[in-house]
Amino acid sequence: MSRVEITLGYIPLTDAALPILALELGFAAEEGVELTLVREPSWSNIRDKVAMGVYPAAHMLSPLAIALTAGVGPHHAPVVAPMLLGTNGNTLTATPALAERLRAKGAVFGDAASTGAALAQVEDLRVGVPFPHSMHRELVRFLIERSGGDADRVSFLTAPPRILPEVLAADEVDAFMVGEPWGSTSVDRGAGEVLLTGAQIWAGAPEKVLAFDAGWVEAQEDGALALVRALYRAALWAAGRESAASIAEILALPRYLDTSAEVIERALRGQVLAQSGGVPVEAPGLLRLDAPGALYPWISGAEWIADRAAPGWGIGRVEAQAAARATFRPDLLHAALAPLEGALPRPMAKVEGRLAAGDAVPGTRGPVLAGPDLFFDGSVFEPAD
Amino acid sequence: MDPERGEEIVSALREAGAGRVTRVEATAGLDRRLAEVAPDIVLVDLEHPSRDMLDALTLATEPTARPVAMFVDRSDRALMQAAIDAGVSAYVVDGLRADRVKPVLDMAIARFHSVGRLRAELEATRAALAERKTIDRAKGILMKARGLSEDEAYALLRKTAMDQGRRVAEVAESLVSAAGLLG
Repeated sequence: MSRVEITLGYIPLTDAALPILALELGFAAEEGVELTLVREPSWSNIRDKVAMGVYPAAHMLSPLAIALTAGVGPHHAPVVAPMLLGTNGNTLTATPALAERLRAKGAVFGDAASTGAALAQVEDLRVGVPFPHSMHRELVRFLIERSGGDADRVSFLTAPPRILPEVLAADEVDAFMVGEPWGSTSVDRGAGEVLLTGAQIWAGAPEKVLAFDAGWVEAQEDGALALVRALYRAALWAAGRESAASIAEILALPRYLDTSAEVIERALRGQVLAQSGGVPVEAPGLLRLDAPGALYPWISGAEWIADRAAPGWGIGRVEAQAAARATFRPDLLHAALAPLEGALPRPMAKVEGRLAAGDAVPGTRGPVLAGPDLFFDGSVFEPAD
Repeated sequence: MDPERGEEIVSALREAGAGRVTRVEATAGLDRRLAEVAPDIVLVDLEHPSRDMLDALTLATEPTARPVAMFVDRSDRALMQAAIDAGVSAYVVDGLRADRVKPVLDMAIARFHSVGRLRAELEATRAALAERKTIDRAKGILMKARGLSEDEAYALLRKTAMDQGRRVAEVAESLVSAAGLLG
């Protein structure tokens, strides 16, 4: 087997699990990939280094990948995403003062309809997110808009995940949307209360992708597919619920996330600490890493992002959709997995918002689980074709 | 920006007569600080997690906000790559002439490299000193336990290292920790 060297940049978050596991458990080596992981402090660095050809591959926010392909921001650098690195993963956390106001307006936390309706009435809402091109921002805007509010009146402030709890405590924002464990961290400090998980807004949100420099994949397609295979095998290994403790121990190592294994494990098991002094509550689908359900890069998911983000990007919806289709590449996942016995969905796009938990779609070897993907307001999103 | 590295850059820029230089170590309230300082060029340490806060300001569309663009003249990919390699990036106010930006960025790149080299040398020296200490302790253990002279003890360490394809310091490290277990 020919060997390939790949350097992959990542941000220390729970959904960097698959590249880390692929390296640590030897799946990358078995697929002939000499994988080097480089921890980066910011999404801007990941973006610049992929765009400048420093990294052929990276852990990337799905909207950022599409924005790069579309040429939004400082670079025009087409990227391709053969698989997701995770579905969902975020929580919306508010200051105790805002939580109290929302409760008075009838919000029941954990229920997106009543919480969204209460949030939509808040004037001049300030929300912290870890990056402008992110599901975090799109999900908050979607929640406000579909609850009858004006999403354009929400002001977003960008700050790194580790800093967001401080920003909330300093009253610079009223709420923030970020990947766990940073919501629970605020709760732990008595500075916040978790209102919703991202999954309660959209149960099938394509959160992060495995992004490749598109030019590199053209030159090294076999190597790219080998890495995809290695990551997918890591996901199959991780699928057992009993593996959560092992995954958490590996991710918590100082060279990776450098944080408590306990809080990582809680997120992996789908639990959130919602209120200070409370006990962790079940939050189904908080972060999903199951294959293929949570990793299949539905083109319709990318189109949803493009459709939502295009106005803020200053480009037309048609142009944004074209970039979305060029970025999410389920065909490459099919090509990568051909040597494995696994089943993948046959279609490349679906109507988003129709699948409940446990629902299946036609697959290459019989039906495969692909749900849930429901939106909180019961709406559906039709793919372009 | 890393305080030590930040100070280096600030003093170098001042020496070069770059005008008013301000160092901002911001986490919260970065946008307000920037509005107060109203810079023409912002240099940012790529190792700093707050970089995303600054980057997000490039998207600011309010008419009052100063338009900031990442310094990425697409024709000058080499300069951009050099900056990324050195661990620095720059944001400039739209309309600032490129011939004013390039010297500042060049200087920052050079200084980032030299500070990085100094630090690497310091770390290497520290590691060598620590290894020397461990080897001395291992020699002492061997001298006491096997009645060897200092030279004989070192020769034994070196032979063991060669036989096992390891470094002398590694063998010494295992010996010291094993001796620690035995008390």
